[in-house]
Amino acid sequence: MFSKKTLLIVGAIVLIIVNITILYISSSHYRSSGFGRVAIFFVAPLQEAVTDSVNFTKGIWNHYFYLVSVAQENDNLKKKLSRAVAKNSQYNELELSNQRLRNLLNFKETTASKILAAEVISVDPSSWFKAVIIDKGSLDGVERGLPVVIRQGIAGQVVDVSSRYSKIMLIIDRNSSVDALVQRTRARGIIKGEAMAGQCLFKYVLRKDDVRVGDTIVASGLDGVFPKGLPIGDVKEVVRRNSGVFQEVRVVPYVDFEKLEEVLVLLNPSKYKFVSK
Amino acid sequence: MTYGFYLCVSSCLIVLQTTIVPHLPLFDNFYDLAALFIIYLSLYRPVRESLPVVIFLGFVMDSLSSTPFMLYITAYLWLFISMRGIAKILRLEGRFRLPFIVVSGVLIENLLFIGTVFMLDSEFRFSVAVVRSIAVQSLWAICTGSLFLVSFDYCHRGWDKIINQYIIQKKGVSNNSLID
Repeated sequence: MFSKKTLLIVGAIVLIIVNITILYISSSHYRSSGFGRVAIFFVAPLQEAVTDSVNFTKGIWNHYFYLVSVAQENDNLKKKLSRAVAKNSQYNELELSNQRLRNLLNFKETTASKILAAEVISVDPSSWFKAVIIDKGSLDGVERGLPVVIRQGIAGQVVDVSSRYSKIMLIIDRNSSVDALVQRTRARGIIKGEAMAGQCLFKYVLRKDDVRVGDTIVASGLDGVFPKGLPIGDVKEVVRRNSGVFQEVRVVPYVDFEKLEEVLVLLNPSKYKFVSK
Repeated sequence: MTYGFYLCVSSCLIVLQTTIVPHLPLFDNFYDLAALFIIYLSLYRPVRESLPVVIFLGFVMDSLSSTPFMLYITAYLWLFISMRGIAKILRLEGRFRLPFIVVSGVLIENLLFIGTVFMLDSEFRFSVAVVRSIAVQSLWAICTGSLFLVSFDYCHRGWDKIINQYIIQKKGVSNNSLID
C-alpha cells in the first residue's frame, strides 16, 4: 500500500514529534526516575573507586614530593594565623554583643541544623548542564530537595538519591533557581544558572531596585529550600535597558565549581524563626 | 560476548569522562567520549547490534547528568542515525575521513543540546562561552577523534580474537573429556 520510502519518512516524522514531546515534558521541571537511581547505583561505585585513587595519588604527590616551598608557606601561614586569632577574638565579642541585643529585642533564634559532609565523586558528563554525584545517600539521611552548601556559600540542591549516592544539581545549572536578595538593599529576584559560563543570572529584579556591581547576593529563604542569609555570590554586571520591567544582573558565585571536592548537606535546614515573645 | 566488550568500554569511557577528564588541565572543554563511541558503532558495527548499546549509553548518561530525562538517549539515537547517513552519502576516503566524521558528530550532538536548551529557556542566547566550548570541542575532536576510533576498532578485534580462542579451547577440552 505504502512504499518503503514513505513509511521511512512517516516513521522519522513520528519519531521526531514523539522525541520533542517527551523532551518538552521532561524539561518543564526536573524529575528523577527509579531507573536513573539504578544507573547511579551501579556506576557510582566505579566512579568512587577512580576518584579515591586519583585523590590518593594527588595526596602522595602534594604531601611527599611537592615540598619545595612548604617552609616559606609555613611562615606565611603562621603570620596569617596570628592575624586570624586576633580577628576571631573580635568576632567573638561581636557575637556576644549580637546575642545580648537579640535578647534585648525579645527575638528567639532556632537553629536546628544537622550537617553531613560528603565527597564529590564525579561531575556532570555534559558541559551544558551542571550536576555532581556525592558519596552519601538515603542510608546517611539524604533526601531529595535538601540544600547543599560549602563554607563559601550555596552549592546546589539534592535532586536524586540512591541508597549510597546522591545527585546534586548545582546552582549554575540551567534548571536551578534560588530565591535571593541583594544583601544591601533587600531587592528580590531569582538566581538562575548559566552552565556554560559557570555564572548565574539574577532574574526578575525590578528596574527601579538599587543593585550595584560588587553587591552581595544572599538566599531569601522564601523558596523553602535554602536557609535565609546563605551567601550566593557577588554582582558582576548590571544592565538597565531603556525599556522593560526588569534589569539584567550577572552574578559570580562564591563557590568555585571547578574545584568542588567536598560539600555539606544540610539534613535539617536551619530554620531561623524570629518570633517576638 | 561482544556486548561484554561494549559494557566494559562504555563503563571505562563514562568513568573517565566524569572523574578524570574534568580535573585535567586543558581538558575542561573536552568533547563527549561516549558520543565518540556512538560514532564508532555507527561506522563499524551493524544497526541491530548497536542500537541496544546506544540506548543503554544514553540512559546511563541521562541518569548521571542533570539534563532533562531522555535528552542523551535522543541525542545518541539521532547521532547514530545521522553518522550512518553521513558515512553513506559523503563516501569520503583518505586521511580526512575520520576527523571530518568525528567533528560532524560533535557538532550534531551540540546542535541537539542547543535545540533542547532553547526549548527549555526561550531567552537562551549564544554567549562567548558557548561558542568557545564548541570550538574547543571540535579542535579536540580533530586532533584525537580518529585515534580513539581506530583504538576502539583495534580493541574490539582483539577482544573477539581472545573470546574465539577461549571458546575453541573450551570446546577442545570438552571434546577431550568426552573421548576420555
